[in-house]
Amino acid sequence: MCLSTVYIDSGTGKEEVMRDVAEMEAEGKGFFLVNLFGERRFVKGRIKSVDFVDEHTVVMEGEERAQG
Amino acid sequence: MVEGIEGMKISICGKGGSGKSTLVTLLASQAQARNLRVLVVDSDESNSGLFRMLGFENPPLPLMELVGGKRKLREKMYRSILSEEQIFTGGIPSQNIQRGNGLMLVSIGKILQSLEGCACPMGALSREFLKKLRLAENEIALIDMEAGVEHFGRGVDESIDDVLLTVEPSFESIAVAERIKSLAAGIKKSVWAVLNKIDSENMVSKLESELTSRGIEVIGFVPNDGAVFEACLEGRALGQGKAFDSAGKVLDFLLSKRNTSFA
Repeated sequence: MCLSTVYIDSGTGKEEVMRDVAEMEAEGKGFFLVNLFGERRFVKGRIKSVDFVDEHTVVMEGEERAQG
Repeated sequence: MVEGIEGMKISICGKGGSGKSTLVTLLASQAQARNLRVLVVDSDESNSGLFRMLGFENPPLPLMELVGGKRKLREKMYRSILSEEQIFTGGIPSQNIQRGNGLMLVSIGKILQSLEGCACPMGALSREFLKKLRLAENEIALIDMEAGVEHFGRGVDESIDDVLLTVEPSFESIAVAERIKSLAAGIKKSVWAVLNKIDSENMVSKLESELTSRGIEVIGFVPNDGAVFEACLEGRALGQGKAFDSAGKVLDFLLSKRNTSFA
């Protein structure tokens, strides 16, 4: 599945933020995420890892999740 | 006449060319004949002629267009019924569904351009649409899956009730059936096989033996039917004949599995 699942790792384990993410756009201290169905969310933090092949995941580390 | 059918979602899977769309069409016609409302979900991103087989003049606008279309996915993603928690057949926008005589058709999307990229967004859309789809009493959904097994990897089959396999007389078709049986078992779905392109009782016996040894129950077969061949060749609706009759037994089996009563 080429669409990604974005997780945030705040140091106590990974928490799923959004599935079927089609777009990530850097903005200030975080990223806007948009999924296939038009949901849009802002997440503070920086990208820790991206898996393009197996699980199609983006793991972000950083601050508390915020909605945008 | 059938009474009190609880809505059910049946996916029709199998090797490319094994007869998935033909079986979907025949089952849909049989369901119509029993006064059931049938939603056919075209989840095959390659073949585009299902609407003709079902007797519609035009295909519905693909559901992919509700999220902006694959090519414009990055430019605009819309909120639509696909953003809702539940989807009812009556709530699907008219341009995205073809209706006629109790038969409904929706299409997830088609790959139309070279270098368009992969079909993953369509897989995600199929998965979410089927998960959110709520069927009323006496409504059934028949999902014409893409060929092969990738839809299992995409989770498209998670929310369907049962898997129906089409198996043609070829080793490769049996091998794909065995793989699907294994994948479906992993998500706890029942799997039954329908043999297609059958010429003789001997062929039925051989295929049944091969499938049974792989733990796959055969619930019916569709004989070679010249009328079906000609209709498919000419791109027109399948009529009634021996293939249509044979699909009736398959539908009866599926309905009986839902604890239905027949009058």
